[in-house]
Amino acid sequence: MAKSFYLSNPKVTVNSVDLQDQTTAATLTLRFPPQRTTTFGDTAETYGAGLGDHELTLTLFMSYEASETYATLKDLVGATTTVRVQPTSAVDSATNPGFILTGTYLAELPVLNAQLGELSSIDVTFQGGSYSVDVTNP
Amino acid sequence: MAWISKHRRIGPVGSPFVPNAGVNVDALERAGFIERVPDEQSPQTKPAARKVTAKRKD
Repeated sequence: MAKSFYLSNPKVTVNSVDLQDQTTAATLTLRFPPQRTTTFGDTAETYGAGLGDHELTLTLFMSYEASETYATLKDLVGATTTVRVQPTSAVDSATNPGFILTGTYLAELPVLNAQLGELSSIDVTFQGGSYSVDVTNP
Repeated sequence: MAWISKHRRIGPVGSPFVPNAGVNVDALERAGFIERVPDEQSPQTKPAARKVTAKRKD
């Protein structure tokens, strides 16, 4: 019987900066909004793919230290950038593909999200951009 | 224009940084991750030292 084990430990880079040690959750969703293509004579609704509208959501510990979460993201709000997530830190391969959104847009950044007695963390969402998968060992 | 890494988060410090498509190098520079260097100083574009071989004396 085939077995598959996956320890959730993805590599995350935002604008080429490695944020793996700040990230606690990452979800990259491919989405092609359905476009209705039903015509006269059809007996059921049919749909085709609209423009790709992909999205990456990250949960990050907030850190204001140099080269950490805030420093990396503050200049990217309202701008496009490149994000990349990968199942593990190993090199790119067919079994460890690098998922890339190029030209993805960061609309908002919570600059402070503090709760007494809790580690501060934030959620950021990158929207749109072109999607690609890198399986080539550099 | 060339860049070198100033922080381990984007690669070994001092190594050449080659931005992929869509990477905002201005933001990286402002945040102190990379440093702009003239092309001729870039470790990447610097020509390899010429190999000098001593002439054999007969």
